Order: sequence, then C-alpha cells, then structure tokens
Amino acid sequence: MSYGLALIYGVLKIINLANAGFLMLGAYVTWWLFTSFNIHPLLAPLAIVPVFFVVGWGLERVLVRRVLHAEPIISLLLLFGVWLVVQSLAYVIWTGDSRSIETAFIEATVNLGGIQLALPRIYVFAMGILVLVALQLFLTRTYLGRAIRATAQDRDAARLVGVDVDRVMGIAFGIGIALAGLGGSLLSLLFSFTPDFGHALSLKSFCIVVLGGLDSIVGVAFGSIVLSLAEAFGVRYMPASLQNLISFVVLVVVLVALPKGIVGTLRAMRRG
Amino acid sequence: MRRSFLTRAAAAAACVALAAAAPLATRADNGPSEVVVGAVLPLTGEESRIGAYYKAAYELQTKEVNDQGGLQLRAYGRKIPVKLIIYDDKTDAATSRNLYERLAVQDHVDAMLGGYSTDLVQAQTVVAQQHLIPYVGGGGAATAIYKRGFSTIFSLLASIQNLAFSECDFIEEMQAQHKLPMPLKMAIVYENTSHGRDFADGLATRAKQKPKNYQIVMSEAFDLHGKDFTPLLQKVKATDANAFMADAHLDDYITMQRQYKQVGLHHAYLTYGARGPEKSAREALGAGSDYIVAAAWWNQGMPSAAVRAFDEKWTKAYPQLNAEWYASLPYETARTLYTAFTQSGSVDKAKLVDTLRHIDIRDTILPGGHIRFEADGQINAPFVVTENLPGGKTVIVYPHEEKTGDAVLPVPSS
Amino acid sequence: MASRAIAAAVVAAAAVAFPFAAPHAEYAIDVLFLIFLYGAMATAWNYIGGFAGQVSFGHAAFLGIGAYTTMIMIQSNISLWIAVPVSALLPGLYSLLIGIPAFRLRGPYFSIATIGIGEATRLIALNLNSLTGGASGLTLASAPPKVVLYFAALALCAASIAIAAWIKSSRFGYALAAVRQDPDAAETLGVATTVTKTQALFLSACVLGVAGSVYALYYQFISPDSVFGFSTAISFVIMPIIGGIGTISGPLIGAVVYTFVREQLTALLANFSNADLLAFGLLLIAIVVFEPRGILGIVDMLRRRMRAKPPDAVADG
Repeated sequence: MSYGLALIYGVLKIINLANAGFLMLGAYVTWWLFTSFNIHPLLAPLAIVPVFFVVGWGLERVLVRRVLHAEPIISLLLLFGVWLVVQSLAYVIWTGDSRSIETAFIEATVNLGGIQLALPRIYVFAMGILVLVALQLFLTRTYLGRAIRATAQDRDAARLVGVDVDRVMGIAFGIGIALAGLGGSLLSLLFSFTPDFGHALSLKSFCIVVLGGLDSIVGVAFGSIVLSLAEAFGVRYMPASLQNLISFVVLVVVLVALPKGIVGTLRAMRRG
Repeated sequence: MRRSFLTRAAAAAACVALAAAAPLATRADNGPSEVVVGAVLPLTGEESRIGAYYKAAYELQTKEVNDQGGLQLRAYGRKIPVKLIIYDDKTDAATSRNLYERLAVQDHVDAMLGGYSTDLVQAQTVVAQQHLIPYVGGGGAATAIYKRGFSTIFSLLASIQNLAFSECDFIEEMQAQHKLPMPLKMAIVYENTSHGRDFADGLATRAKQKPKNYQIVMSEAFDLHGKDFTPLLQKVKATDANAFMADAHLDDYITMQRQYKQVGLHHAYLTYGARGPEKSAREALGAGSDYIVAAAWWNQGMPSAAVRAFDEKWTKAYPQLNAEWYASLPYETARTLYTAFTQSGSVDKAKLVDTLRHIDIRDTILPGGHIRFEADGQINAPFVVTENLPGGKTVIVYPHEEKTGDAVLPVPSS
Repeated sequence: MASRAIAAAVVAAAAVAFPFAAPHAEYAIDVLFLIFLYGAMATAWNYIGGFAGQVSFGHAAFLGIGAYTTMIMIQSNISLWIAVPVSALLPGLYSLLIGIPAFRLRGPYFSIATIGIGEATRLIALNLNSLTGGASGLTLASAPPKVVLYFAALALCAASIAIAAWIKSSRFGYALAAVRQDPDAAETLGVATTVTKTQALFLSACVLGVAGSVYALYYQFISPDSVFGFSTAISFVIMPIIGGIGTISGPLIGAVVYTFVREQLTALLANFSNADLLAFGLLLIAIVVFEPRGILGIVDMLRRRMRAKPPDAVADG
C-alpha cells in the first residue's frame, strides 16, 4: 500500500509552475487545522482545499508576479524564502514536538484474504488515484486545464493565442498549493509529523516526477509504482536505515540513463 | 567619498577590537559573588518534551540550594548563591556545542550541567573537555561518549549496555519460571545512534555468553525520527522471532508501536529499551502499549520512602509534569554537582573534578543506592525493569528489591 | 576601485592584528572565526550559485567530506600537510561525480536534486560506521591552537574571495554569467555549459573541502548531522543572498550579518525557537522582491541616489 503514498508524493508535484517549497508549506499548515479545531481528519480536506487555493492564488498575485520577469533563480529563491518563513512559523506556533492524529479510524484495520491492511492506507491510496484521475481529466479536457499546460510550456506563446496568462498563473498556483495541502492532510493520517515533514517528502515526490517524465501525469502513476516497488524490494535486501537512499539512487540512475523519464523515453521510442 | 569609507572601515575595526578586549569581570579575592553553572537543553525541537523536564529539575534543585542561602564553600567562609544559565539548543548538536562554547568563553561558567540526548551530549562534552570545565550530566548514556579519554566528564546515566544486561537478567529469570521460551529468538531493531548500537551490542554480548537462552534472528538499524517503519516491520514479520527488541526515542517508539499493531505483529516479549511507561506514550497508544517491558534508570513506583518524598515534592512543584526518570535523573545530577562543590570547598575547577572522581553519595533515589563514577566518568548503576499492564498501570518487575508486581508474560495474544 | 581595495586592506589588517591586540577575547575570536569560515564557504558557494545561477542546497556534502577526510587522516596519523590537500581534492572529485546526473537538470529541478545529494551523503556517512563512526561521529584528541585556526580561516576567506575576483574578471566568469542568464543562448554562442558549470562546482567543492578541514580541527568533533545537516546547507544559500548574490564580497557581508543575527537571537530569545530562520526567511523574501542584489545592491542604490542629488541641495542640508 505504499503505492498510495508514492502517488500522493507524485501528485503534489504535478503542476510544477510552483516550486517544491509549497509542498512543505501545504503539508504542515494542514497539521494546524487538525490539531486546533478537532475537525475529523477525513473532513479536513473540505476546508483545506479551498483555503489553500486562495492562499496560493494570493501568494502568486502578491509576490511571485513581481519576480516573474527576473532570472529564474530569483523566483526559486523567493519560494525558498517563503518556505523558510512558513517552516519557522510552524516551529514557533506548534514547536518541534512530534504531533499525530489519533482517532478510531487511524487504528482500524481490514482483513483482506488473510492480510491485515491498515484502513487509512487504503483510503490514502484510493484518494491518490482519485486525485490523479481528476487532475488528468482537468488538465486535458477543460479549457482552463489546457490553458495551464500551455502557459507552463511557453508563457508568451500562450498569451499570443489568447490565454489570460495572469489569471491562469494565479489559478495554477492556487491548485498547486491546494494539492499540497490535500496531500499533507492525507499523509497526516498515516504518520506523525514535525515542521520538517515536507522536507524529506519533497525529495521522494521529485524522484517520482523525474521517473515518470516531467510533463506527464500518467508518468507520475508509473513513477509512483516503480518507486514504491523499488523501496519495498530494496528494504528486504539491504539495511532498513538506507530506505530513504533508495529514492535517491533511483533518481540518479534515471537521470543518467533515461533523462526523459520512463514515459518520455517510451514516447520518444514510439516516435521512432 | 574615499576618505569616509576608509575612516568608517577603520573605525569599525577599532570598535570591534576595543569592545572585545574589554577586561573581564574580575573576581574579588574573597570569592566570587555567585557560582555560575550553565546548561544547554533541547527546549524546542524533537526532544523538547524531555528538555522541559531537565530544565524544571535543574531549576528545582538550584532553587532549593539558593533557598538555603547558596552553596557553603569552605575556601571563602560563606554561602554563595548559584546562578543557573540555561540555553536552548533546539535539539541540534551543532547549536548545542556552540552554546556550551558560549557558556565557557562568554559566561565563564564554573561548571556545566549536561544536556539531554546522546547525540547532543556527544558534541557538547567535547567543549567541556577542551576548556577543562567540570561537566556533570544525566542525559547521555551511550558508552561511546565516555570512551574518548576525557577527564572532566561525569554521567549519572548508566550505560545502555547495562540496560540491555538488566533486561537480559530479567528475561533469564522469566525463562527459569517458564514464562518465556528458551531460546528467546530476538529481532533487534535499534536507532542508528550510539544509544541504539549500545543496546544491540549489549544484547549481542549476552547472547554470545548464553547461547542457550538467546538467539538473534535479525539485527538492524533504522534512522532516528523516521516516519515509515512498515518496511522494517515487514522484515521483522518475515523472521520467526518471538521477541521484538527495539531501542528508540520517545517519538519513534510511539510511531513504531502504532505501526507494529497496524502490521499485525505479535511477539511473546516486546520492549523499546528505556521507553515504555511514559504517560504521553500511554495516552497516545492506549491499549497498544500494554505488556511492553522497559528498563529505565528510575521509576516513580519504586517502593522506598525517599522516592515517595521526591514524588511528592516534584508533583507539588510541577503538577503538570508526571514524575518519570526524566525528572529524577537531572534532579540528582544537579544535586551531585552541588554536593561536589560543597565537598571540594571552592570554585576551583581542577579540585572539583578531583572531588567528583572520588565522590560517593549514599542518600540517592536512584536504583543501586550509590552515586559513584567509574574511571571513564560514567556511573555503574542497575536499572529497574517495568511492564505496562492494561488499565494504564505499570509495575516494577525486577530487581527484587524494587519489585511491585508480577510480570505478565508471554504477551497475551489479543 | 582604489577606495575599495584600501578599505579591504584596512579590514584585513584589523582582522590579522586582532588576536594580538586582544588575546583574551576568546568569545570574539570565536565569532570572528565563524565569520571568516562561513564567509569563505559562502563565497565558494557563490561560484556556482551566484555566478553560474545554479542554486545548490547540497553544498554541506562538500564541507562534510572535507571534514571527515581530515578527521580520518589525522586519526590515522597522516600529516596535516597531506590531509588538507586531500580534503580539498576529494570533495572536488565527488562534485564531478554528482555533476553527471545533476547537471542534466535545469533551474529548480537542479536545486531539488541537490537537496537529495546532501541528504544522501548524510545517510551514507551515517551508515558507513567503520569509516565514519556513524552516529557517534569522530573526535580529535588534540588540535592546533585556536588562534592558528583563526588565521587559517582568515586565509581561506581571503583566498576564496581572491578566486571569486579572478573568476569574475575572466572569460570563465563571462561564460558562467551567460549560463546563468540563458543556458540555451549560451550553448548556441559556443559556451560548453555543462563543462563550465562543472568547473565552477569543482572549485566550489574544493574550497568547501578545505573549510571542512578547518572546521574539523576547530570543533574537534564532527557527526553526520553537524556537517551534513540541512540547516548548514541552507546557510550557504542565505548568506550570499543577504550580502549580494553574484558579487565578490557579498557573501562575506552576508556571513557577518548571519553570524551576528544568529548569535544575538539565540541568546536573547532562548525559548523562541527558529526565530533566526524566521528572520532570515522574511529578510530573504524582502531582498528577493525589492532588491535582489542584497546589501551590496542597497549600498549601490544609496550611493547612486546620493550622487544624483544636485550640489545645491547638499550645501543647504
């Protein structure tokens, strides 16, 4: 059931107009909602997704827009700064104590053909697939979705064909952060967390995205499966403490051997 | 333009030089106005829960001393109050080290009280040794810390290897009573720190000495403060172990035990080293923490009158902090330092180190009844072994002098 | 230009004279040591981060490798004269190795990959128990006196800045700038972008390796978390941004600000965790949005404003 986890990691990086920093941001602002207002974790996304969307949209309008025309390094540094601020605020507000959510749902297990499966993991897996499918539909079947992809590819060209680039950027950012928040919300069902939470995860999600090919959503699905398989098998044959190293090794291998990711390479092969 | 920049730069340099060269506060010859003691604790970060305990304990003991007027030091013929400085290292080893350095060169402490958590203590103690400042700690137990040939470092925490041996003594007793299988097939998982390795080494040593009682089927390290232990636990499931021996810090213990239940694991014997009966863990895990055996440096259930008195004193001062070993160890640590000061009679650091080397405090609430340091600076004291029972109860099951109840073993299958 | 050189010389002279003028100011020497060491490291980070525009969050890996190399060699009784150069070389070689996959990525992707590199190196160091002592870290029984190391840090800082100055005025520096602004255009103009980036990273890594050496000797104790930690890696990014990314002396100025803020905040706000990171984060955002060239940029802007004022106004004021 680590496929579900990997899927979430990958989904969080789908709309990569924003940066890894927002992934971390989303994850731990989620905690706050849980620990302060006693909203059942399964209901939390209903609040998180819209709120985060607005936050992301606002962030884009107020800060990111100003640096869009500078060198790309500047927007990267800006988002890094935002991440620092948000993480530090998390430390200040909630301290570095490990937090976790404890409800009956968390402990529930289900017996499927003799194997004990944790209910939260199944739920996260299902949600992961749902979000993936919804995203795929949105990005390919709706005007807004296609406008976002166009803007991601080439901002000026998109403007030329009539896309309201400013509006699209704001929306894309909003979606990105909303997804990050959702992801964090789901993951909080499974793990305890500290303000460092997003940090390690961003790496895995990045690995998945590179595995699957930077532009492909279906690729993310592939990437998730490959990574979770790699981790599951890897841990059997090597010290468990190197578990996190696996994603990194996979990343390096893919970068050196298959720079376009699995899907990209397959596509290129198909084109002959 | 040129001149102003020049003058500015020169002025800045001169200012820095002057400010830093300001003469240190000179001490009068009839003794210092106060005895300065410093400590750096994880008040924020992963170990903040325990850091708070240590701060509370140090402050309580210091207050007791100061309420009496201070430390009676022979060399100056009077009582001198103690000034306690505590900094927050945010559970970061480099910060901890830097702050101890600050205590040494900026605050000019006469002695240092130790921090908490092996990796932090490992880094801190180097500073104390570098500046030859007496350091008395109750927060770092791994033997590696004390095997570096340092001379001014003392620890009231007995080594984790001793912890493993104490648990093994208990296991052998249970095996003799047919409450545990022989041999006990152990799956050992330990945090990838000196603390964890000490635990694994201790078990391995005992297993080699008594192969009839123990068999190690798996021994693996995991990363501290990890999130997902399920791959590791699946590996444990694949072995034929009947004992799960883990060594972890509090938050990893809680995470791992939760996932242990979710993966559906069950063993005849279950331990997390020194963790088990902590109130926060019992609350977080509920029945999931039942039957866990732990070996700790102290337990509030110990039957002596002195322990009862401490329990009352502590609860009165800090009603919101449950009296666990996180409270008594730093309390005794500070008491040991202050007693050493009184016995040595001055703030001379070399004399203090010498006093600590030969000290023997008998009226302690720690198990074993003595505070005495071995040549490497670490105490050699026994542990109390406890077991969590349903209903939030905890009983001490070993050694006999401290026993308050019978062990329920093997762990019943739910 | 001459005024800058003279100002630099004065500051350098003061720095050299300081330990002799105030031999008991241990704490001040500690702080100055940190400033020079961090300054050296931040300046070196800037070769690849500021000049070439490839923001790396994994530079702690080079610091760590340098530190561990020195520690291990000294513990094996190898002379410092050999240990230090090797501590410079090994991180350099490591940088070549990781450059192969890493430089296939652009912009933010490269940066994220460097996070992974730093973390992976930390994990490796943590698990290679027999070589690195694992979590217990390594301790040095004795080391050169702190004053000597103070001068070592000072010398390293000067060297790091000298290299930066050389890069900036050379063709290599122009190539780096081209890569930073538009790698594709640079390629079409004949700049071998990957080779250029690799060279910058190599230089960067070597300097950090020596810094690691000095670090190990000064602190006499290193562990995977202390040298490979993410907070260390972040500081290398923060300092040049504050002072002026892409400039020669900016990183050193950033190092001064960084060290002072950390020291003062840590002592003053004992319970207010991560106040320093919060401050730096806010500062970073402000700088990036309003004056991306950092403190040096602000100074430059002020100077221009002052020069722009008509002479009459100055005389009246």
